[in-house]
Amino acid sequence: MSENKRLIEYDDHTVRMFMLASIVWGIVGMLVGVIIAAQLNFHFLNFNTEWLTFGRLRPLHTNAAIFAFVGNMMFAGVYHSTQRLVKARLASDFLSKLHFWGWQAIIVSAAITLPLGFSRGKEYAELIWPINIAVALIWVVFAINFFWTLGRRQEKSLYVAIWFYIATIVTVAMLYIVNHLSIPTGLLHSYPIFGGVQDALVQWWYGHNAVAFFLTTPILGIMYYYLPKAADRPVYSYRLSVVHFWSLVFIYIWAGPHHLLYTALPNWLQSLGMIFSLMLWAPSWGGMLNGLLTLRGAWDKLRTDPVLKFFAAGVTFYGMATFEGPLLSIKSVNGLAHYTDWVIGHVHAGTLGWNGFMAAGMFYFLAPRMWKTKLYSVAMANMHFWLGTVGILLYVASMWVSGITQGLMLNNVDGEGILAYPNFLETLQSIRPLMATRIVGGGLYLIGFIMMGYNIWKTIQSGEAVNGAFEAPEEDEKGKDLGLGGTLGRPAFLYSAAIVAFSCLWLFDDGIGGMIGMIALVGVCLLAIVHFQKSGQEFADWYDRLIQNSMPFTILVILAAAVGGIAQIVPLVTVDRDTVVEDRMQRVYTPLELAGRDLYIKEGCYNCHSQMIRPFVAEVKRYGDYSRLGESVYDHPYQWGSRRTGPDLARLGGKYPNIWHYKHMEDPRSTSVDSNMPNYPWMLENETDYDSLPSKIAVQKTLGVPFPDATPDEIVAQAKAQAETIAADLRQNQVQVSADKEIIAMIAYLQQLGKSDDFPAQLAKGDN
Amino acid sequence: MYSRVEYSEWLTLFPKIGFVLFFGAFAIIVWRALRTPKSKLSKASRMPLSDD
Repeated sequence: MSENKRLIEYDDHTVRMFMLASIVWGIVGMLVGVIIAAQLNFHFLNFNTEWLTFGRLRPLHTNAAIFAFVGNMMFAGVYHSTQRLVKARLASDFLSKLHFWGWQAIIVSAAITLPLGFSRGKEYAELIWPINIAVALIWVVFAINFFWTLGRRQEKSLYVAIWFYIATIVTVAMLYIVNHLSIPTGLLHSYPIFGGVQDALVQWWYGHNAVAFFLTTPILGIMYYYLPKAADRPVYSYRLSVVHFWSLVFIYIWAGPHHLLYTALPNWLQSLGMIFSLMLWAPSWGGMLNGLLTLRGAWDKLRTDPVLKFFAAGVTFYGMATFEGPLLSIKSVNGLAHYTDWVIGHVHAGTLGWNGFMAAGMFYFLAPRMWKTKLYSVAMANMHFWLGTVGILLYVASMWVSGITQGLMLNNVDGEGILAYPNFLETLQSIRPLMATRIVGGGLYLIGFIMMGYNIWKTIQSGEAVNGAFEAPEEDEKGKDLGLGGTLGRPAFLYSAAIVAFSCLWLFDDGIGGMIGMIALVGVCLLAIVHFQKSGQEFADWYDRLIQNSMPFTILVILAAAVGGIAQIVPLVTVDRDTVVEDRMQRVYTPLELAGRDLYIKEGCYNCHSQMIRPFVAEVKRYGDYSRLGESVYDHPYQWGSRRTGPDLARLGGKYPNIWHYKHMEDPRSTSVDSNMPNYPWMLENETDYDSLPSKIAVQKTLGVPFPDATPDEIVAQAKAQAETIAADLRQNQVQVSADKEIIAMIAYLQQLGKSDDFPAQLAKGDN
Repeated sequence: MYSRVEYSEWLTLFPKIGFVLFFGAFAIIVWRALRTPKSKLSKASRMPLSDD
């Protein structure tokens, strides 16, 4: 070490811990995935056991895959690469430990509560409110540790991977907090503050961008760091990476509504979601090509290097999944694919191919370096690669065929509107072989992943943990402070803002304002050209200094990401929901129906059943009149669903007698031959939770649901009276069951589905 | 196919504003990326290779 330098040791212990946690949780999450895939084909694998049913395990699978597997992998990659890119040790050992153990505690809490049925009833956002708060706090710990490390950096400029990490941290925080805003009704239960269409929009703004900013941007950062290192070549085009980053951050956030095409979501939002999704093609493929072209001149290494092999395949799957995503967002394609397995296949091309293979490549890269040894078995890593690849292809191809097959069958009507396959179960039977193929594909992938775990474990045993280090100059060399004022007060920013503002004025004002906007726009453009001609490098200087100053950079990222959310969510949540309902208004639930609805959410019925009939002839013929905006206005949370493993339930109420529902819940095959739905025998034994109803209704009233005034005793009495009516009806059909059992509340809810009041046309706004 | 009620006409402004914002930002970023000197780009792109 020279006398003017000091040796700084990186905190690689935290990196190792997150990496090992990711492998362990990855195996758990994928194992649960294979189990639930098998349950879909073989209903008896639910074992008539509450905490083993598909509806409860599927949230465990998705949460484990996203937050436990990819989350831990992301933290390992972010912490490892950031320390080296900014030449600084992680800022706080305490925060690093708190981050790691706090995150694992959250995962364990989720693994306990989800199978027990404690759920918020929103996909990928099922965790209950105390865990939500823990997630937010630990995320803040991560953010502090990360930005504090940036603040202590020795490297002035921020590499593009760091930009992606910044976007991840700030955007996930924003998405998570907004979508988890809830009012607790007790220690383990809450209702989201948004309801109906508003909740649907917020949910998919979150859900889609969980994919974007949890499963994509951090992995892109990892790609931009590890791929050049593994190939020993600089990134193909840094220019392209700049455009890739800003385009992705700006566009992705707008695309959420493509999950709600043809639903009761207003058309302007659907169009917005579709168009921005199509626009995503460009930056996504720009990023993919940038990654693949980084391998130029190094392709021969793929034959021998498992790291590059996984990275190349991972980036290719990224390209495939990001081609397919916009394709599925085209309304006509979505009409066929939505609610089918095609979407499941698409998601797994991303998670197994992109996330899983990038994780594997990174782990194979890190393990020998973190434990200062050689990889235990390159042959085993290669075997992992081929098992994984074949597994993904079997999985994805079978789901494509399954989705298209079922979509075509369900939408098949003749010229007179007669359904070709009126029995939903016919379509289910046709895809069973494909569902079985999925089990094989997922199983192969899991076996490969377990092999990686073994390979890395043996690698660890042959080496010893070492921390990286670097020689830093005694005097810190930091970027010149730009500050917030210096960021926003610069001519480059001001000219940009003025151009956008005058463009809006010109385009959207038909009067004198439009004329002024056009003239001002031309004037500002000319002024900017002259200004930059005279001042030379000023714009460049601003931008260069911006990427040396992490906080102003972060604020611009927040602005870019927030614009989409604000433009979509604010107009929708500020409308008067009592009058903007189309022509029907949902009836307020009775206390017993509300209790039944909470059971519906607890059992995760939304994982297989939608409550949203799209305005297609085939759907209206099969399920009843298409769903209106007002018909879910009081639903906190909304339950429109995203997959129809079983039929839509939006208008189930009154379609069958109570006894049918009783028998169906007890053994679905007694009423629906060949159904793959689990039995729910415990609902015949467990008692309805009447005691919590007053506090639940109080919270619903706070949220604006017009429950009639009633004392707690009256609420419970109303619920029991309605339950007794249903029990008496069942007794008339030779079924002796106590009115206090959960099955009664569930029947009350199911029989209410689709009940609404006509809404006077003159009160509905814009009913043109 | 059945048609839906388009209930708030003025809200269609938002997509238009969104496009203006996007294309404005996109044009600026592309222009900035193209204007960046090669020496700076080369230095930045080699950052991962010079960190150990």
